[in-house]
Amino acid sequence: MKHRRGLSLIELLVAVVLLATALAGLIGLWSFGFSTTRHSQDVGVAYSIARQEVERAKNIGFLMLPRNWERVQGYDGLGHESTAPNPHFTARVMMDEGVPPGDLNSASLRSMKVQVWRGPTEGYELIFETITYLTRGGT
Amino acid sequence: MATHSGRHGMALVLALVAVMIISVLLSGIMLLSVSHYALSNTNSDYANALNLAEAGINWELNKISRDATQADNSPVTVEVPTASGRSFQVHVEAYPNGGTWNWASGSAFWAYSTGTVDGVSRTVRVVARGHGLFGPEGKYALFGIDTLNSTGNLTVIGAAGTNGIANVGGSSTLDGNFFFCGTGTGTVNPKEGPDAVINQPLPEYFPTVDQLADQRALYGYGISTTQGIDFFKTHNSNTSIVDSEGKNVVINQGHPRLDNNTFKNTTGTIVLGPGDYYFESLTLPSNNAIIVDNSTGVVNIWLGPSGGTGGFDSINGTMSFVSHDIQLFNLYIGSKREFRMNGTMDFYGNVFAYNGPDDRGQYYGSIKVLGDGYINGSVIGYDVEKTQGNAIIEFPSTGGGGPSPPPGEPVYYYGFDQDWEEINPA
Repeated sequence: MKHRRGLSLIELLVAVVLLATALAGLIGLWSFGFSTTRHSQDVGVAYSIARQEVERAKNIGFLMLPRNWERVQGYDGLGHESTAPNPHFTARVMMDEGVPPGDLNSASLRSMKVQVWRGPTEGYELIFETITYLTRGGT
Repeated sequence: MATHSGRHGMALVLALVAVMIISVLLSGIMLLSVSHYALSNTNSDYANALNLAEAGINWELNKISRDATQADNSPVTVEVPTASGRSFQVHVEAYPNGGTWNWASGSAFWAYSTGTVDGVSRTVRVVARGHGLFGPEGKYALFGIDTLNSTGNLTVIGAAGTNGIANVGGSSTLDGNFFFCGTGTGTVNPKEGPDAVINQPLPEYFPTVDQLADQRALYGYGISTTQGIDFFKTHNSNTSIVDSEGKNVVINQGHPRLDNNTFKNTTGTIVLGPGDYYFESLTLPSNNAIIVDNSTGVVNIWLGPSGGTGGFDSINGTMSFVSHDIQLFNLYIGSKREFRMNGTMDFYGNVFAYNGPDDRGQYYGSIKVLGDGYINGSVIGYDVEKTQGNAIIEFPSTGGGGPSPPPGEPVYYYGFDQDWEEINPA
């Protein structure tokens, strides 16, 4: 009986260790899954924000966009513009950063870079960055 | 006892079962998270690739605008600087049936562009075409690239502006917007108007007369040249000038002039049919007349040579126009001689004086509006001045008649026309 009782205790300990390990893994992976899903969701919103900023700049017009124009705009977690001091996202639009290839003076072909950062200011985490070019009468 | 012993074993079995269940759950969560992550990354690459595809379209449009003969009829790949792993591949095809785009016709074309980011590609195509400087796609009734001065009784119906310094006052009336472009500045204080003063951050870009002449040579004559306006010394319609009775008018081909002497032995009225006319001097006296017969095509007058000096050119109110489509008459001034618009005629067309750079790197082109004429069209020059008379310059709200630019005429820039579409393979 004593031997059997000892065996039972060992079994119980093994079972507890197994369960604890499994639960620890579960919690770790749940955390991983949570952060990954949140990041994925942020990326999804971020590229929508970037696209919105590209379209906004195009609507201002090739000639009406000042040289080296920059715009910084906060957005909430759903991609709506936000004036809150600590927005979920911060979008930064930079015109004419870098000379497009094949263009000697960037007078007629202009670059536009859009970055979307997580957090109230840039520098927290760059979620999405895109580059495009604009020309007079272009797409 | 056997049952008791079995209960002891059950703890481990239950733990193992729990571990299995948890493992399955973990695997599911992992799979879900990783696939969600991959999906969002792919979608972001998709969005990025689409922006790059559009960048490629604009890159090609800009390239063709600079020199249509450099159009990429076969695909060319361009790496985007400052962004590793990002590129676009672009080419053009004739519209609508595909194949090599015949740029000489100035016709529409497909522009295809595939943007690629981290192995994810998206393809976009658009229909693009050349857009004209004047007519329906024009913007200004009056523009002084370097200076614009008006102290007389000038009425401008349509937009006006400058890249340089403007002084518009006196009894002027501006029935339209006034644009200060780039570093443009000055005083706009007319008797009436303008609708609005707009500060446009970028300067307004205009091709020079020499560049327009090269384009006309390319589109109208199928000749790729960099001679500028001097091309028309040897390629012109001067010999086809007749008087009002159809009698040939002799023009000196060595130094072609249109002045008093030209009208000797004529009826006093000469007719210019569709074509390109080149003169090194134009002084149209008020007792003689020119009929511009642009009913079947564009009449262009080119005043050269490029950078030529000495005296001034002038018209004195005795031009008439068979067609009132403002795209069908253009007066290009490629010399440094001042061009004076006198008289009281109804003028239908465009006057353009902007050329250079000369050997000192300077641009030039001077227009003085002095008479009481009614100018329907655009007056654009490096320096534009209005000091006397009661002229009216009107950019028609319809912008003229037919397609812009008319076939064979210079293209201002190549740009989007219609049918943006994404054409990713299935």
